[in-house]
Amino acid sequence: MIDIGSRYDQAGGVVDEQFMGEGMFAAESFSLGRDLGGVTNLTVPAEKFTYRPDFILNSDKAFWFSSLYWQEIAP
Amino acid sequence: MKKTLSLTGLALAVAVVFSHFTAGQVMAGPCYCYSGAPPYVWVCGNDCGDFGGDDEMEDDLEPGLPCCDVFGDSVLCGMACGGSGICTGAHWRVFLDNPPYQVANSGVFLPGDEDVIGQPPGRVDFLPFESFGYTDWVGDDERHFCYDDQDKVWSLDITRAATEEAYDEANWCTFSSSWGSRMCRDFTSLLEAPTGFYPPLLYTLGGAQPGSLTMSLMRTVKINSIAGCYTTSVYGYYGRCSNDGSSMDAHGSLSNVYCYASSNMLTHDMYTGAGVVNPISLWAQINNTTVTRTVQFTPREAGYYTFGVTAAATSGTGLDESYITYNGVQVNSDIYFGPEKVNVPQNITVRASAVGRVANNVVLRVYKCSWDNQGVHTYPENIGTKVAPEQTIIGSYPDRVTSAFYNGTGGRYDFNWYFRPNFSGRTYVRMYNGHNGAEDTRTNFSLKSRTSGSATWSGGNDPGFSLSNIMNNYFSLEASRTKEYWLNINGFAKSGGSYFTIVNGFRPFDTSAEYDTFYLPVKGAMNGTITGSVYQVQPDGSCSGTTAVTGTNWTVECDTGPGGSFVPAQKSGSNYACCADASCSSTEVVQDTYTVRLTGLGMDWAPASCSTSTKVVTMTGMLNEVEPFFIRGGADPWFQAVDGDVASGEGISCALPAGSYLLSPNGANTSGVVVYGPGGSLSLGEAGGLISEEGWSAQSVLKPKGLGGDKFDSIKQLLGNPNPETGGFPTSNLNSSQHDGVHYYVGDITILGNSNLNSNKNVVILVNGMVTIGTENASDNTQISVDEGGFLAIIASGAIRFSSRIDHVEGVFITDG
Repeated sequence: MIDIGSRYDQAGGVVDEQFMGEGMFAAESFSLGRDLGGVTNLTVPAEKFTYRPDFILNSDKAFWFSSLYWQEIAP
Repeated sequence: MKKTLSLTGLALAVAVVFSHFTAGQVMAGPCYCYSGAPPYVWVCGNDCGDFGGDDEMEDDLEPGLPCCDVFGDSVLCGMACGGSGICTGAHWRVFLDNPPYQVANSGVFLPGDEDVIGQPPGRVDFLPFESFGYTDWVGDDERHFCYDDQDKVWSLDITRAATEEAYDEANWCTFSSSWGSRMCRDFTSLLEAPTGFYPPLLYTLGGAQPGSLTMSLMRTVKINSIAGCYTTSVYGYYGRCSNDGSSMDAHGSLSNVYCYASSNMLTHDMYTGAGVVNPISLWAQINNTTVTRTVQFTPREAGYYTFGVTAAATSGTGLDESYITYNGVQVNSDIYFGPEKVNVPQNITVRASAVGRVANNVVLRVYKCSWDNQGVHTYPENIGTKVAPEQTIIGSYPDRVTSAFYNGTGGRYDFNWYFRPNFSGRTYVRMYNGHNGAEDTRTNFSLKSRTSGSATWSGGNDPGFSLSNIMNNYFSLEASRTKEYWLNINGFAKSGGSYFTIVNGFRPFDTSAEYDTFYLPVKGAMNGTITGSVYQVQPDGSCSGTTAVTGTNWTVECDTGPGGSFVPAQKSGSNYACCADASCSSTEVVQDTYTVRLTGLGMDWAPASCSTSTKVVTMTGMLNEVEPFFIRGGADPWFQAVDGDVASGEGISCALPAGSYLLSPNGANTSGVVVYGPGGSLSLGEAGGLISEEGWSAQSVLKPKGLGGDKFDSIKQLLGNPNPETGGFPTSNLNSSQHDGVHYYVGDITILGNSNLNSNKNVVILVNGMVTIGTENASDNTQISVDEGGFLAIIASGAIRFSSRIDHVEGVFITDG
């Protein structure tokens, strides 16, 4: 699991900062805990993941053949 | 109507305000016409021909005719009026030859140094000048307050005679056969006051040379027929004092002379003395019984004299009066002493002047007399100040500036009240029979109104003006801002006289657009509260409905008045109420508008765009309900992928705000694709969130290609199954050489501190365990960044946890967890 922690506490008036992750994030499950507060949430994602294609180019070749396998399913 | 004009010898015409004014002797002088606004009608200073019996005077004063024709000889007068030799209006004002005014008016009067002599009517029921604030209604023959506006008196007598008999009273006054009294009530304002002067309290005396003027001061009358009247002592002294307060001389049988450095008692202001003030004290004492006591005082020279009288109450309440006479004629209004004036000196100023001086140019204006009313008393809107409490008005003399006394029995009287344009508000008036404490129930009232600038008054209720008899003789007035109003109340004086007065306890709510003063002379407390609600917007965002919002999610603050601060409103459910102070111990309204503002919203709430956060409330009564505030709730947290894909072998659920994208392009040309498994679903919430601008999504079986089993083991295998490190995970940052290349750790690790991997760094960390990045310490500043060209991969068999303090990481993070 990739767990992105939160200290959000509305009663205590505590909100999180946005989590900005660049690269690739892979897990069986995700726990995205950030909360910027209801009003901020209206316009700002609590977690923002940005793809970094340069990581593919600069990574060890061991990573290169790992890709997604797509399989058609019945309509 | 007869018009007369008389002038003899070299005397100059002198203005007369109403029939009881006496024109003093004046000397000839050049003709001066004044062309400045407002249009004045000038009386020229030369012998302009035969003025006797000039019945054309009225016509001559009409706009469009040569001004100097009022004297029958424009050639001799020779000066243009109104800029073109034409009278441009009939604005008649009395310009007295008083040096302070001359100075203040840039020497307009070109005077000699003495006055035109004006003398009051000397009747007990006359409405004194003091009752009128200065007004300047220019050239409008409708803007007077006489009862019959069709009979404005244009005729006037100009004479050098010193007695009122020289006037043609028939043109000023009339018999009213109905009431059997010959009354003349016509009033005008005197001079526009220069700074520091108050015209209504200035009275001009004349008829004697310097040193021979005699004034009677302070007739004090105890009114002991009124229940609760108190014992009054009035003290005064007369004599002259030097500037340092020492006594110079004394006069009268009661000649205790006290000199004061202050001017609380009698002061003499030599108008030529540039501010020299010599206190002069007068003395008299009145005990419990009804006593009239007169003290004579002879000014030594012309000048202004201020008479001060102080009443000291010893028990109960009540009123006494005092006034000043000149040669036996009352020349100022009564000074009344209500409880609020006990021990407070009351001053009145008179002008003692010598005769035989020159007053060249006298401008006058005249308002007509009442033709058929025993008394028509006009009250400009800027008349007075606070009246005494209602209870003390009953049965006693009300404050003179806000009420009028009508003497006699069965006399008809009128009370006219003029409202200038832009008045908006309300007030309450009431009529009393003052001597028996009962209201005069026979009061009638009527209204006239006209659009501002119109020449014609129309009767009857106006749509913008409501007058209602809301309780006995209380009248509520609501006025339009675009019109002028004229309220007339009339009735019949009962035995002993009646009073018009203003009811205390109500307050005007607007000010004059021109003078920035209260229109109405009523000042008193008014109570009121502001109530309102805070509601949640409708699902479509509209500001409607009454969906409650828990009070913990909002606060409304209330304005506490001038100079005050905002205090929280009292809350109950979705409703709130404002009081005049924080503790809600007062509801007194002290200003006409109050501000309420929405504050203190919970973090999940915001003001709705269709609502405001501030409202200005106009106080119109006890309960003043405000349109509700509307607020909107916030949204749930959500995530977004930029330039990449989001893929899941099962479902994806993320409640996006309306219009937000799950996938968004930044450097990429397009957004990515969202992929979810055949058994799952894609849910972006109900608010209207979107996949992306392109909307690309796919439902597919999804699994890593070419890898079998767990990702950790697969990748570890691809990396050549490195041996585990034996020294534990280094605490240095990831950019250090200790982390170069592939490292395999068995057991949980924690990454702390900032790590910025350079472009030549390639770090792969395999962890057979859990990876924690950062701590929960508030001072934690852990961040991980990788420059372009560098590479970082953290592959863990257990969870990878980013602490709540982490806000930025870069790299490839893969876990089997």
